[in-house]
Amino acid sequence: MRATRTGPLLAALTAAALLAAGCGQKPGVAEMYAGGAAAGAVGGAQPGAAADAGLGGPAGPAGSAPGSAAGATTSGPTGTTTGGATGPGGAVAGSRGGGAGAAGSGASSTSPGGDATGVTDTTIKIGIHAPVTGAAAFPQQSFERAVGVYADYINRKGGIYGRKIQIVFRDDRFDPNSARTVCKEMVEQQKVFMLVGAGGSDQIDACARYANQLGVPYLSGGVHETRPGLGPLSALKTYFAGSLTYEQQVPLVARLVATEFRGQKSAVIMADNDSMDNYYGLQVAAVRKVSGSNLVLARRIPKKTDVDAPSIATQICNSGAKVVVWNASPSGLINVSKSMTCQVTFVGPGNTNGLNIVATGGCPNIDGAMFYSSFPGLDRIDQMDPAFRPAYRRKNNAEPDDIGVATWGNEKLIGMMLQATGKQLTRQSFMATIGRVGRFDNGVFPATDYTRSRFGGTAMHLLEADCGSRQYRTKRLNERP
Amino acid sequence: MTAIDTTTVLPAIDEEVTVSEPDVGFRPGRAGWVGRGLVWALLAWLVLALPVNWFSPFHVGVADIDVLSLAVIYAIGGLSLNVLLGYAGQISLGHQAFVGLGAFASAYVVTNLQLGFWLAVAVAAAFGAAQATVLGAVSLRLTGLYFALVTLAYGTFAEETLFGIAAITGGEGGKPAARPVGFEDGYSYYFLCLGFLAVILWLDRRLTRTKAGRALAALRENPRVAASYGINVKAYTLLAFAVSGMFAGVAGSLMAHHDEVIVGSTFDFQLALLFILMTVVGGLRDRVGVVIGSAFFALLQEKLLVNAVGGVFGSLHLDDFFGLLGELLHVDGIFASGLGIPAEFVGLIVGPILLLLTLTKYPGGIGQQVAPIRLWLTGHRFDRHAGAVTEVEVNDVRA
Amino acid sequence: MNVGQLLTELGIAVVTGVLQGSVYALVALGIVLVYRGSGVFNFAQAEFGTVGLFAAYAAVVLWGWSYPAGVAFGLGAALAMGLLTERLVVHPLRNASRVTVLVGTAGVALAAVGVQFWRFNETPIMTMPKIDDGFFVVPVIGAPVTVQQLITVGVLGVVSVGLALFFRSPSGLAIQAAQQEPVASELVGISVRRVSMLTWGIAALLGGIAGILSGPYTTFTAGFLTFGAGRALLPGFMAAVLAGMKSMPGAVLGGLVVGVVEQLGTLTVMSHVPGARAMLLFAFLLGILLLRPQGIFVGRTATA
Repeated sequence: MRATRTGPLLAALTAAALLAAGCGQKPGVAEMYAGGAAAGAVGGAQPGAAADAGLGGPAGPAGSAPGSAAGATTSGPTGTTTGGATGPGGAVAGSRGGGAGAAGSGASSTSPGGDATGVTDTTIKIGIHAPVTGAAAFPQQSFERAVGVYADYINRKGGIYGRKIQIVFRDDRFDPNSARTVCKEMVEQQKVFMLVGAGGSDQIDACARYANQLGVPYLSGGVHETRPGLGPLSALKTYFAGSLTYEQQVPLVARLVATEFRGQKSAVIMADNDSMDNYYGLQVAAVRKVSGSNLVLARRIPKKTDVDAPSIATQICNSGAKVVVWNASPSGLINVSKSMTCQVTFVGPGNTNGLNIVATGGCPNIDGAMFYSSFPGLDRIDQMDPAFRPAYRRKNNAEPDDIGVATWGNEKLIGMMLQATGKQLTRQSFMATIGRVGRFDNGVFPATDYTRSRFGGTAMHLLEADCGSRQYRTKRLNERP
Repeated sequence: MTAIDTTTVLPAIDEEVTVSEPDVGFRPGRAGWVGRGLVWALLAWLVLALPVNWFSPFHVGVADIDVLSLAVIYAIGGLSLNVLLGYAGQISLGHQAFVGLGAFASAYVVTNLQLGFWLAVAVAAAFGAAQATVLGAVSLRLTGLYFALVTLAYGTFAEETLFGIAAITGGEGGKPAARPVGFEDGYSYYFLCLGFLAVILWLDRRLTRTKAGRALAALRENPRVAASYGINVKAYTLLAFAVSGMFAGVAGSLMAHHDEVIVGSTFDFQLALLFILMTVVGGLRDRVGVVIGSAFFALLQEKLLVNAVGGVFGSLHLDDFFGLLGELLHVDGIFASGLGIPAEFVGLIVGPILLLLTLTKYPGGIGQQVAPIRLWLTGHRFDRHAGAVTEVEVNDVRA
Repeated sequence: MNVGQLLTELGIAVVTGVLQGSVYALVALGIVLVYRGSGVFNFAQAEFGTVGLFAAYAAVVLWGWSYPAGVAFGLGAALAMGLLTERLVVHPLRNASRVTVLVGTAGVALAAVGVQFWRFNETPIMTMPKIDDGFFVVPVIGAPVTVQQLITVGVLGVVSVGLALFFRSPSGLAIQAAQQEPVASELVGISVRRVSMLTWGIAALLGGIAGILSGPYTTFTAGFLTFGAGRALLPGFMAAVLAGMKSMPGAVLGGLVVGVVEQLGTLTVMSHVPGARAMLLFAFLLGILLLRPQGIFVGRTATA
């Protein structure tokens, strides 16, 4: 609950009620009351209704301006005053209350024919979600540091068309249900312009479908392409994958098995997760095509591997496989490799298993593992993007990790897309620009191509686990399927 | 094999004796009625108006209102466990499974069968009642402590096996569960949840005020004596299970459509312990206390309480002067909040402390603390000691 | 699916189950000890293990202590938690109903999880190094065995023998006397309070040993996923139930049996059942409690 402006009379009434109750919040109320009076009586008395109107607006993503009338004057549940939001003062007020929307979409200079929620003359607000708590989370501190490094960098250079990027970060607890909740909060309460999913395929799936309902642009790394019963992600009109999907990586992985492990026995191990069904079928078929009878084991494994790890490990070892195509959780990879009584090489698609936390926990057992990744290892990033390391150090006063590289890449990609869209920024113009320009090469990720598909990835980098340094090193760049 | 060996669960106030004798005949004066009326109005404003921003200096956003709805849903869940733990004296460490079963049943009806929400709630309630009755039948053959183990195993079984059947539950990716027509936005859904809470509270009151309630109280005190008075111990124990399961099913259904995507892993052991916290800290057998306790822990769990406190401080003056600092504190709420503990874990620290304090020092829980105010509000004289637990019941039958 | 493959898998499951079960046996020993001492179902028993494990992890991995020092620190943390539980929860509730105490110990478990989140949420994937990285394959059966697992079994053996000897010593006899006749024991000069502290201390140490030894098997994270609830607490309790909540040797045997039952969930025939392990454990527990609630491995100490 946050303070906001409202009619002076109502505020006075409630202040009196609170006083009578002796709630001890008297100063706060008085202050809010004063603020409310200063802001004038334009604020909507029934924000619930206003929120509905705002919701209806962006729901039609393809249509040019279904919600423009609402957006231009009183969008957002707080009932933004039209005059108040234009100046920089309005922006500060917006960020202050947790950005409850005072700096909402009523900005002036944006295109009249579109939904410019989260955009003001001076700011663009972007929401990122990632799991930093929960069953298979990423290190919280890494994200704390990584988020906003590029935003700070570009903001220092004056932002994008004078607008500074504000990043809102939320923990989705590695849970699709929580992910949807935090995405909803960022979109409908924080009024972000767009959403970014930084990891976890099921969370990305849940948020992407939600964002599509409201016409909010959604960008994530490539994950699965479809889920049984819910349809393909490519059918979502606001979804954009920044790197190759699992399905698109099938030929890459099969080729890796064929070239690096010629004539050796192979296995495919994948999470028992219905969003992986499609990829599993395709990957097994592709590996069978290159390995023939050398594909000795293909199975799905449960989410919780703590009890099953020894039996899975035994099954792999007894099958005689030398290369294991793996796409399940990083902790599962570590658990199984810890129980191994034989030496195998794990390979697989990007991105999570190629993170250095996996090398740290899984070495020495996973030495030589090769995983595709949309971002390079720390050994190559300085050549590819010299701006990264200084920017990271400047924000955090610490040495970067690979989650920093990945987040930098994501934010930079978005920065390029925003730059390409131009001064007249709306959700519609932004998404139209992505499809029109198609190619964005941020120097960190392989270049994209959105002219043919929402799955814009064109290539992947290949990382290899080096247990000497307990890190993944960049083996090859820009491998195309 | 005897039926129930554990008779008393936790000492708490008995509703029937909260009115002390000298109070009889007391009538508040005019000022007294005005004062009570004002407080009632304030409470009504707090529950009905504040969340939807009527007559309110605060702003409750679309995400905040969802948290408040969740608090209402948890209150129904707490009342459900209260029937088992408070009225029947049966511990359940698998209550999250009761709720989860209702949630998935409801989601299945709406999403797969394409049937209406109201039918889905009924199906969820029926499913909840049916599975609870089966467990109840098992409990009749076990002593209290062993039954706790069965519920623990049942909770794990439900979470991993039942909720893992991807064809029905959507597996790890979760099951969509759309909100009912007319209640799509958070504010109207909040009132829907409130309506259900009111119905559940009424049912709960009916349960305790009728013959069934008296029978349950008697067999909680001593099942053997109760049986000798001709009370059908088995039937009433099963009734308590069925009612508890039904409430849990309703809570689950509301939870499913509240979240709109539900996942099996939501219903884990931690949630079971959260329900225990809500009920025990709230005050067993005290439905006002249980509702307050549930709402308290729900708000704590979902960070709203922590953020609201931060928000109030923030809106006072701090970030007018330190705009950037305020921005950081708010935007990265998860990283801020005091001791370096993410806000959603504050409940995990505060909860057990309150639980242990309740068990060892304040057996009446929150219900006992608010009992004086509650009685005053219903027209009694203000008595600071009203509702106090005078003696600790220890008629525990050792197995 | 042919019979030969099933037999191979069964053999592997039995070996792996016995090895894993030795951890449950250690947990069960603590549960039985506490139950005999205070008639309490200790739902914090597994969290003694987690606290020990996290403390040892912090010492060895984060602070770079030597392994023995880390283990000692972990055991010290577990012991401290056990004594605190006795002092803050069990003793104040000595006159409360047993379900109340059960809820109290569950609260202790939740508090332990809260502290874990508070201190260790930064590192989502934690691993404890093994004492020895060696492994070999059991001939004929083909089951893999790590040296770490053998060490666990060895420790279980030593602990079992140690406990048996201890209960024949004067202190041990005093505990048994206090457990059976508290009032009479006070009269002959045995402090029931000290006995209670001793009981909870030993139980916490047993939990700590179990947690620290099982740490290197898998990755772990803050919360009940690591060692609590369905992970180690439930199997530990099931082993204790098999022992009639009374027999120490029964608890050891019960732990091994539960370990094997759990591993049956990993057979290929079960691979299409989600959460097969949880289902087997639930069915097994129901079966025991409905058919033989007095336990199976009760043995001659049953009269105790």
